Amino acid sequence: MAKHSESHHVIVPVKTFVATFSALLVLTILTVVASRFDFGSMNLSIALLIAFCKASLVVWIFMGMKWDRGFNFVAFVGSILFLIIFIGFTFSDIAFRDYRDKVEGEYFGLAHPVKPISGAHHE
Amino acid sequence: MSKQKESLVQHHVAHHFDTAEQEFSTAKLGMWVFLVQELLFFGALFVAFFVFKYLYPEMYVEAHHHLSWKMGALNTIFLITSSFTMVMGVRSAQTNQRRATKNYLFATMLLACSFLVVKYFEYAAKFHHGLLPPHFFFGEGVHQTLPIFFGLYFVMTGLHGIHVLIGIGLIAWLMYRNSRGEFNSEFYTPVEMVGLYWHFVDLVWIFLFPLFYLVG
Amino acid sequence: MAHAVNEGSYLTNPKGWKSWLLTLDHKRIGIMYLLFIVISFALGGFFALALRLELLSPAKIIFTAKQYNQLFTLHGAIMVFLFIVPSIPASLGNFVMPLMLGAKDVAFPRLNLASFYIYVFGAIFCVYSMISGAADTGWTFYTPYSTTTNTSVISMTLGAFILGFSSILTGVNFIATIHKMRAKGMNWFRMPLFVWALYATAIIQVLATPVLAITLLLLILERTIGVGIFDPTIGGDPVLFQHFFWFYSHPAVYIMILPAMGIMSELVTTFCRKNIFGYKTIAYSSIAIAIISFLVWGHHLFVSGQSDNAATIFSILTFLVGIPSAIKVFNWLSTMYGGSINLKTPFLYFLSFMVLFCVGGFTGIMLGALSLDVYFHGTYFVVAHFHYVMMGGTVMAFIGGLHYWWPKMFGKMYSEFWGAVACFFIFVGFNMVFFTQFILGAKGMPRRYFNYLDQFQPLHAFSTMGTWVLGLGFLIMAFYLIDSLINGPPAPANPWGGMTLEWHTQSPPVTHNFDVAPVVDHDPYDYRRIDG
Repeated sequence: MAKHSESHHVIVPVKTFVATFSALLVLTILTVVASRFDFGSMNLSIALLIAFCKASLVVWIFMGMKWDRGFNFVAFVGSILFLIIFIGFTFSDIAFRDYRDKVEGEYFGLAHPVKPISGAHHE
Repeated sequence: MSKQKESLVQHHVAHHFDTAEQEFSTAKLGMWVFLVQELLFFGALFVAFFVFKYLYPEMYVEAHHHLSWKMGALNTIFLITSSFTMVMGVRSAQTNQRRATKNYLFATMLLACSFLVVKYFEYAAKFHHGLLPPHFFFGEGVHQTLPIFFGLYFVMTGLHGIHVLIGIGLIAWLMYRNSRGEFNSEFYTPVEMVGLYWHFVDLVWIFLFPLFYLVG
Repeated sequence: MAHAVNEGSYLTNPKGWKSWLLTLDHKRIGIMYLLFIVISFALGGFFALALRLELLSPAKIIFTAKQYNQLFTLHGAIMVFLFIVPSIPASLGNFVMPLMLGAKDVAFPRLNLASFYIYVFGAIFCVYSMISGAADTGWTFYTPYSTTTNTSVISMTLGAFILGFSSILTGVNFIATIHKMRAKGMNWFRMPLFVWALYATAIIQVLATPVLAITLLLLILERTIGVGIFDPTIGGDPVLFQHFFWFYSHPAVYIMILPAMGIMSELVTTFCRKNIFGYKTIAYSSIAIAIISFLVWGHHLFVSGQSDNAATIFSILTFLVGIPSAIKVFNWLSTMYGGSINLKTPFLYFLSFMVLFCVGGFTGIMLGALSLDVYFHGTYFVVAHFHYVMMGGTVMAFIGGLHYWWPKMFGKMYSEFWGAVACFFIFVGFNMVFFTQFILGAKGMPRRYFNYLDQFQPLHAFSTMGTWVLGLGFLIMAFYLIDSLINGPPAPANPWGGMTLEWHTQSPPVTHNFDVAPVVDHDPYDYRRIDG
């Protein structure tokens, strides 16, 4: 059970933390700079990619996953998979409603049922 | 354990554990599993964010120009720095440097407070312009769906802010326990656990910042 | 068979109500949970009796249509959030699981007590909703009705939100306990199957419940400050609420049934005195059910206007759940084959479970089929289906488990005769109530209706009479169980000849569970070891 006992005693050198910290700052600047340019549909992907790199650095070094592994790693990474399932299946609905709306609209003359914006509802 | 002079209060392993190692690794596992639930808690909100970004892309573009990326970037730097000071705080507790632990924890707390101060100014500006959740919205915009963006903005940053607030409380609690000399290389579990929590708060912001302030 | 008299059992040592309220002992926390869960069950059952009474005739009998809506909402919300989700894990699981692992306690005893008090705190909000204009939305709180009705939705959802955290913390605690607190020699495949089931349950609790929490929080905020994402008038999408809600609530169905399946595995080996058939497949199928449960939530949205793509995918994936569930049923059957069956009360509930769960499971497959569901959706067929699984499955297992561990918990034996009588009434009453509803549903009777066509009256009346038989069964049970606490003969340490570790300590156990820390060197159900 105590296979990962080393994790208790790992004392990470300060320079590792400083390097990680610097990398995070650089990536923050990078993401801000990248957002000043318009890459069209790539904007979101670029921002997410950089955020993902930053997040990985935090998890790997600051949260000590590098020296931990084992179940904690499986649990955390696994939960991201479940989040992807959540997003993926929700979009299997949201992103494909147009088709039926269009067909029904043709036959029944219905307006788009998802976006019935009723003017200035709020003041 | 007795050779640490700083250690004024000795930790006793709880009766239902066999060793301090088992106690530590169990606490850590529990904390990670707790973070898993935190991840899905915030994750659901990100799902909502993406759904409406997909449905109303132009509205998101308009809306994000109402947010100040400079303030967001400043807050990002505050939180990243606070993560660094936190991790140094844990390290000093591991190496029996009680004074350094105190200083690092204090710095972390100060940065967290700065984050909230910046957040306060941002919120005040939104209140001023009426860029608020739907029931209170009176701002001006091209898109009629604009209130949804600010509904999400206030819920997501608000919940994150509450997590920062809780974090400040936890760090204050750590500082109190540290001042009693409870932490040393043999026992620093609470520092490590609060550290994990604090990094997670940072992690959420790492995604909130580009999604709300930069890409929209 | 050391007797408790000398040092006292966990029930009497230490003494005083304060030592109970502040206890960190998992056994006492389990008992306190049990008390609250039984009260919730009685309350939810009372609402069920009341609303079935109203349905005795198509005309109004006692309640108005709005009160009827509030009744079925309260019945559903209380039964789901206060009773069935915490039922087995928090009460029986809390009590038995550390014993089964040979541990002194759960990993985080203080967190365990905290989750109990969070449960009580959440329950207070639910009860407050009850007396302050009870919610009438149905337990699913669908938008946009739940954001516009003027009944007390906020306190009910806040209650469920808080109860969610109780459930999450129990899950965190159980995962840590199962990973780290096992006795020496107790490797993963020497754990009793009930522990495996609780582990799978805990995974769902941790992964799915936070989504419920955020959904209910969004609903509360929608009603107070407005978030807009569920409000179609400003471009929000009410169907998204259903996605959010069922991302939790479908896996939650397995939070309810998985621990029940765990109890079944325990009962079948003990009362057939035979090693379980296919230990590993049962263990893995629990985990498989936990994971698949996250892939099927869309079958609740077949007629809600989700895209055809999503509906088709969800329909296909729904059939997958049938595989691990069937694996379990066949394994239990195979375990019975050639076993020396001992027809004690817990085993009667095992048999009831087998019959009722199969009916519930098969009709579940029917409802998972997209084309059939379009017809059945929103009829009594669905009501009958989920009661067969939830009540015929989980409640039967809960009662079976309660009877199984009753001697261990309280050190008293109950009357086997009255146990069998109660089980008979419950089984017959249950089928009277709910099999009728399959027929009603197939004939097109919509659920949640206050009124109905005259032609449905005979079936409705029969179903209502069934609730009285069912209620009588529970009443008998309440009497003989309370009687056993006062007059019951003392229970031996191992009245059923069980193999798992909880039977190796005295009944009721001492506060620290085991006098000597157990060392495990064999499989959990290896009856050949003792029977030769």
